[in-house]
Parts: sequence; structure tokens; C-alpha cells
Amino acid sequence: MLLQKLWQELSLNRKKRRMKKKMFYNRVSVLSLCLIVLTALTGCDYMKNTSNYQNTGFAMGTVIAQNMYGGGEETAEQILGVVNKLEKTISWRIDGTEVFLINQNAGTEEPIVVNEKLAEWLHACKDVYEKSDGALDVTVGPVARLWDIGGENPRIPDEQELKEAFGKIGADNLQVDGNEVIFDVEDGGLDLGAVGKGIACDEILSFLKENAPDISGTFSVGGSVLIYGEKPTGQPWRVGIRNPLGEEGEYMGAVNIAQKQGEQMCVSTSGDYEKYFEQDGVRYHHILDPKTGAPARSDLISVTIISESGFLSDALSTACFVAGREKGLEIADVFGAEVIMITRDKEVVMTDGSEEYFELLDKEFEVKNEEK
Amino acid sequence: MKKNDVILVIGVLILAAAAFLWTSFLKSEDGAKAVVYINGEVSASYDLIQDGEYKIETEEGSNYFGIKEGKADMTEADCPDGLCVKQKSVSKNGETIVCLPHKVVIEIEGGSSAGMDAITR
Repeated sequence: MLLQKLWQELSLNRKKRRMKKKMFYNRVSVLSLCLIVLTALTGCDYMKNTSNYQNTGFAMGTVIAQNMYGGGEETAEQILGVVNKLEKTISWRIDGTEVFLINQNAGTEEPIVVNEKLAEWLHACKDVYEKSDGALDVTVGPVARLWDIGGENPRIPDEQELKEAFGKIGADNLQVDGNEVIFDVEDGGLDLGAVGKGIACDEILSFLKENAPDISGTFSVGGSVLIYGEKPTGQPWRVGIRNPLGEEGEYMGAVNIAQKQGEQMCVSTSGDYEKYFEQDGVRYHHILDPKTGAPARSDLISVTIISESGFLSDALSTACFVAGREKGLEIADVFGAEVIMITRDKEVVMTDGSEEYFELLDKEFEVKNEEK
Repeated sequence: MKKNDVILVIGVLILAAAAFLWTSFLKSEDGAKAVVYINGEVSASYDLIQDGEYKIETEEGSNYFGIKEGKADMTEADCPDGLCVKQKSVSKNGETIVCLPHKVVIEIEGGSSAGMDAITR
């Protein structure tokens, strides 16, 4: 009897313990569930990294506007660092940069050893020079300095000094052999201003691919825009095209470009409204025609290039602007880039590929389709 | 489940709801502000609702801008090109007025968006 009682008591205790254990685990699981729900609702953004961060900064003498998803202040600072670093290689103004040294030794037949990337970029500049029949010439420095458009003393150079400076330009004088550069003209002025912003876009792209492959966004270097990755909303990225006849902030159209994560597209525009001075009712803008030594005068007032390469988007926007409508379309075709041109008559001419992206926003402009 | 358990669950769910509302509120459309950056650093910020005229002092020179009827506009500047004054007034999220020589940017934050992710020029 005693044994039975004892056994009964023991089993009851065990049951009680089991029940207590069960209730404990029930509570824990309910609590955990609630905590998970709590975290999910508030931490969602941080876990999925889709909150938007924007940053406006300065580097390489221009505005860097960053609009990204998944990145924050740290990424933005690093990207400004990338552009600052690039400036230390390609700026002709800063003492000691490789471009500065090339100019310093111009005409001495002294080969300057440059880093691999700069050698590549100079090769690419020469390639565009040749294929655009000289419309893009990065040795136009001596002439550009006379005009000083965008500088403190812009003016119309007189015939004599222009003639002299003219003799110093011509990308044929730039000889690139492996990593060695000989600039074979005295007082030569290598100036990568026409391609620098596009190169910056490429450098930013390299940085992102290596260090932040999961973020996405648009990165504008003085108006040359790198589109990187997929917008979290699933929508295409929307890049506004400035109305060349309107004020800053007025768009005549937009290009809507969707990308997948890991893909990129670059958009650059050249126009006669960016930097200029006016005299006697005539506008002298900063895009010089290397053949005339004066601001390019064609039927175009704005050229936008869409290309996977930042360098090409920038280089070709200049080349096509200088070359004019007909030749410009040919040049874009040679490089497989899409182009959107705006003429003085407010006509919008574009390649088939651009049609997919382009959206007209200002009806004052008329779209005229052109076959590639 | 016991009564205490129910209370516990409800308590946590209320907490969750409160946290959710709080984070949503933080992200919601705030009144638009004009934020002034000098050389990349925030120097001042003004509600677009409040009319006013302001001076921006930089190492390179001065800029003056005004806020009127919900729009910000650069009214005067002693920079060499004066391009910033020519720029149109801004009021939508992300729109900017830039004075490059003085490294000044006035950017609208909050409010409605013009719909552009970036501008090519």
C-alpha cells in the first residue's frame, strides 16, 4: 500500500513537472513568435536594405549626387573618395598628377610612365579621336585656356594667339606605347575634361562591383549618370534630360532605364547651356570644335548618349555634339551607343535603341525618328 | 493558455504595433525642407512653409536665397558666373540649386517628388 501511494505521488509529481515544462515551453514559443513578428515589422528595412539614402557632395570640381538603396553615409563617403583619387591622376591643374607631368614634359621626347588605367584611357581617347574624325580631341588644352570658358576671365581670343595655340593641338601628338606616354609637341596641353566625368562613373562602378555589389542606385558626376543595379521597387530608373532652352531644373524628357542587379548603364549629355559667356548677343559655349578652335556650331544644342561604358557616354556626347546630326549618328553607331539629339529647331532625333527608353515631357519638342 | 499568457501575447503585439507605427511615421512625408550644404556639409535647414530670406556665407563668397510660397530660389550671389541665380526655384524632393564656385547646394528634402532619380546635363 505504501509503495502504491509512493508510486502514485511520484507519478503525479512527474505529471505536474511535465505540465509545468509544457507550459513553460508554450510561453517561450509564444514569446519568441511575438518577438519575431516585432523584429520583422520594424527591422524589415534594415534586413532587406531597401531604404533610400541620398547625398550631395563635391569632388573633382563638380557636384556628385548620389541616390542609393542599401547604402548609407559610409558608402557615399567612399565614393567621394574614389572620385577624389581619380582627380589625383587625371587633373591637368594639380601639380604632380600624371597628366600634369605629361604636359610638363611635352615636346621633350621624354617618355612618362603612367599607371595602366590612365594608359587605357588615353588609348580610348585616341580611338574616339580617330573614329570621330577629330571631333573629340583631348589635347585641345592650349586653345581652351585662351577662351577660359567657365573660368575667371572668359574672352574671345585674337587671331594671332589662336593661330599659335592651334599649332599645339592634335591628338596625333599623343603617343601611347604600353605604359609609356610621349607627348610630342611643345607646350602641349592634355585636358581630360571632356571625358573625366565618364571615367569617374566607370571608377565608381568598379568600386561598387567589388565592395557593394548588393546596393543599387544612381550616381551623378557633374551630370554624367551611372545607373547601377535594380531599383527595389522594380521600376526603371528615371533620368531627366535637361531642357537645353530652359532653366536648370526643367526637363524636356526622361529616359527610363531598368537594370538587373549587377548591370549598369551610363547616361551623359553635352549641351551649349552648361558653361558659356555671352557677348554682343552671341553665346560662346565650352564645347570647342578642335578643327576651328572655336565653340562648335552645328544643328545640335544637346546630345545625350546611353552606353554601358561611362567613358564612352561622356566622350561620345562631346564628339557627336561637335560632329553634328548626321555624322553624330554615324559615330554613335560605330561604338554601338544609343543617342538622343536635340536640334536648334526643337526636334528630337534618336536611335532605335533610345526610343525604348525615351519619354517626352515637354511638347514644345518634336520627336523625329531616325533609322540607325 | 492561461490568462497571464494571453496578457503577455497581447502586450507584445501592442508593442509590435507601436514600433511599426513609429518607424512608418519616421519615413512618412514630412514637410519639405530646404537644406543648405556648404562643401558637402549641412549648414542649415529651413521649412518651406516658412517664408524668409537667408544669407549663406562661404570662404569663397556669399549667396542669398529666399523661400516664398513653398519654393526656394537663389536671389543673389557674388560668384563669377552667377549661374546659380539663373536656376529656377525648387520645391520638390531632390531638386537642387547649385553654386559651384562657392560649393553651395540647396536641396529640397521631403515633400513630393518630381519623379526623377537623377538628371543628366
